[in-house]
Amino acid sequence: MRKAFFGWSIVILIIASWAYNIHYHRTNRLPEGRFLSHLIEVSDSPGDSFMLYYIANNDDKRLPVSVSIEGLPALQFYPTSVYMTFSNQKLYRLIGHFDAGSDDPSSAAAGPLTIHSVDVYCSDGTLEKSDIGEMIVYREDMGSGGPIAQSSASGSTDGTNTATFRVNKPVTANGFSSAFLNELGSAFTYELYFGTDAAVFPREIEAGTPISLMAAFPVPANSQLYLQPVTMRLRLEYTDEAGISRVQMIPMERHPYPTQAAIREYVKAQRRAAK
Amino acid sequence: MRTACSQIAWGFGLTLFDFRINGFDLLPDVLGFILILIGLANMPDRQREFGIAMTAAAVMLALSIAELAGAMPATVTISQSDRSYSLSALSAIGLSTLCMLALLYGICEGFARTAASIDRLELARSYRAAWQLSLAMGVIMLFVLPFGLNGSIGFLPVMTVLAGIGQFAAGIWLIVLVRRFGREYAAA
Repeated sequence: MRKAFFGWSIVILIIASWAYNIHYHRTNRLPEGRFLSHLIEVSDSPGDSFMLYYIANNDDKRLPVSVSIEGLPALQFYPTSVYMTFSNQKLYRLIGHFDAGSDDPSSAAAGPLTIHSVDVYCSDGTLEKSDIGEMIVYREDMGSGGPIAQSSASGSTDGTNTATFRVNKPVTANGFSSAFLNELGSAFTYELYFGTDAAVFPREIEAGTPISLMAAFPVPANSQLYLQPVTMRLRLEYTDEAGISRVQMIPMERHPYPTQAAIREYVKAQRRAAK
Repeated sequence: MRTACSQIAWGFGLTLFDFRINGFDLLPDVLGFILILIGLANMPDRQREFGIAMTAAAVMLALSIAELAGAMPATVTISQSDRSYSLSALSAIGLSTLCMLALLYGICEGFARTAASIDRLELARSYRAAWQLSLAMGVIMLFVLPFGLNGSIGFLPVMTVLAGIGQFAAGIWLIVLVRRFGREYAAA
């Protein structure tokens, strides 16, 4: 009797293990692979780059191989790589970079280009349009060779970034902006200093005065922004001694480092949305 | 009897060891299961459990042929904790483990009863102990296997490797017991 009870307990335990794992596997699948919702500011200057993140189930065979964006022929992508692996999903990363500036001189006059979807070349040979969130490509001449030069920059995985600049000739700082400042709200904080003074505009800055920026993305784990990659090109607008208006771009990025729990919540939300 | 025991022992040996060169199995399981089937068919003492072992060996022979022909998912080795495995691959391992347990039960219990019938009680106890070890390892394998579906389970490779080593040890023990039984039966 005891032997039979022991035997049946083991059988029930094994069946429960298979049932639980199959159920967990089925209820934790993404309806389909997709790009995370990004906020990207980038310039089409040669060398500027950004990252796209794509999430798919571990056993999905159909994956993005490359991406192209209409109107940006100079944009190239490195091969897709695995960025993070979770129980049932993988997060892939595609790095886009501009090889050369736009050949079309009229594009600069047309102003920034706003993009919401991209053409994706998939591993099964198909081509599809996919939403990536919001991407703004600045195409104007930034006035290269200006009197402000970056002297250092650092970033950490918690989203804290610092950057310092050197002013070689006197300038007048006119403003500091980004297309996503309002959208990010309290999820992006920064402190900008001219020398030891907090920045106010307009402000004349003497040669030799250091400019420093400390920025962070304090996004709580339960926020919708938690899984949102952010690539910012903060714009410090100034006028040089000759009265020429210039822009100093300050790159600021937040890469997603989601936990298994955050991915599970994301998958749940996607499954709810698909129903 | 001695020849039958030798065939069963060799058959087990072929299924236990996996020598591959460029992916080609030099000791194919198919040959091992055929030898086990021939050995069991040649057993002079017809125990009911040998029938269970023959059925299990026939199923495993069919599965091995299907795998050779590419009709079954290729055998996967659970060695990484940071990846997940497909349901079809894990089910194939699960089915194979179940059949192997049925085969081991049939052989161990069949030989244990035959040994008891000729007053080799210590040998009968050894067969039952070998079966209990195989059962314990098989149960561990069947319990942890489905966790591979959801990946990133740190204990999975450790448990499957330990259970695999346990099953291997039980297999070696069984080969020794079967050969010993062949010799003692001939001497009795």
